Amino acid sequence: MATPPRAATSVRTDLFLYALAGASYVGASIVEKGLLNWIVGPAWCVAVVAGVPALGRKLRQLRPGKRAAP
Amino acid sequence: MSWAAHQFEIYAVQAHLPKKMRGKVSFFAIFLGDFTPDFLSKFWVYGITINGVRYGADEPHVWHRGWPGMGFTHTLFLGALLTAGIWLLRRNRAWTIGYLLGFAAHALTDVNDSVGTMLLFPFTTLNWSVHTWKYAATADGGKYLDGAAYYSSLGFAMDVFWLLVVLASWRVLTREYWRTHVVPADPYVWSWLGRWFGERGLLAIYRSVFFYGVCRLVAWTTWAHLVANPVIGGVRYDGYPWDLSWTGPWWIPGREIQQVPVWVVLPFTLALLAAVYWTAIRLWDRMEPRPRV
Repeated sequence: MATPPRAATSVRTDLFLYALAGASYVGASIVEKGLLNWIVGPAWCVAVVAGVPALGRKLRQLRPGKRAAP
Repeated sequence: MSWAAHQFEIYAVQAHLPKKMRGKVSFFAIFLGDFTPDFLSKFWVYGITINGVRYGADEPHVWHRGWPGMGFTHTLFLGALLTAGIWLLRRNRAWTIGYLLGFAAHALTDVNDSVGTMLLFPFTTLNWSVHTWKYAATADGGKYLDGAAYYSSLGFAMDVFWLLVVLASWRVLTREYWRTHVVPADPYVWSWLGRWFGERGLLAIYRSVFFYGVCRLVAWTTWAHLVANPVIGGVRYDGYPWDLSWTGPWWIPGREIQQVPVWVVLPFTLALLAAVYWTAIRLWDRMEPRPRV
């Protein structure tokens, strides 16, 4: 199977991240409406969209099999 | 008051800048201008409760939009003063004009609720209102009742309208637009933020207010109509009743401040909007940086 071009993969990843951020924020804020404010809303978006990939990269680096040989 | 509409209108202003200003007006300034009126006034509208005692305005609508009160925060007069202050401090037309347009967008769109804004302050303290929906912030009901009323009335339609305006100009949300129109207008701010964030993070910052608006619209509407079980007039409802008629919803009392006749408001507001854009265009040319000799 052909590998999708990098740009298409990036768009799909972005869509997934924004959807994840939106679904989690809406779900959490229906339960706790105190989360619906000017600070938490934008911060939630940035934290998920920028933070999840960064966390993924950190975790991949920590996996023993992926460490560079000494 | 408007809710998510204020988040969407920032992108609508950004997408519909006059041709000569495209790629040159600060997005952050539009955001700050739009944010200022409620930032200065809204903290006391709902108030805070400590140990069961509520501290806040007794008449939130008077505090928020009236005089005496903080109603001057929603006037073009204050917008003009702050805009002049920014120009005197920074001599930066990207920020000055962006702030003016953002502030005007907020003050003018708030004429839709039943309280409206003092458009001609300080010449008159009469409020200008189209009465599209009821202003619902009250000392007893707090934010929940306000949100439920707004998202059961034409306020909901207002949010959806502004969302559609932004979606009709969807390119304003793209990476390409951000690179070519938003970053060049604010190179230092984006460069400073770039010390901590990669491009994905910076783009998320740019889109985050839109994200918040969409989530706010969905979350409050879902809560008001699918989760809440209010008792209105002794009857328990599954969700707050919708009322998309003019000056809805029917299930809360209306609040008003002495106002000008309603038929004057819409044409006058549109004329003021045109005047703000005309002024911004005229100022833009006059504020052009002069080349150093």
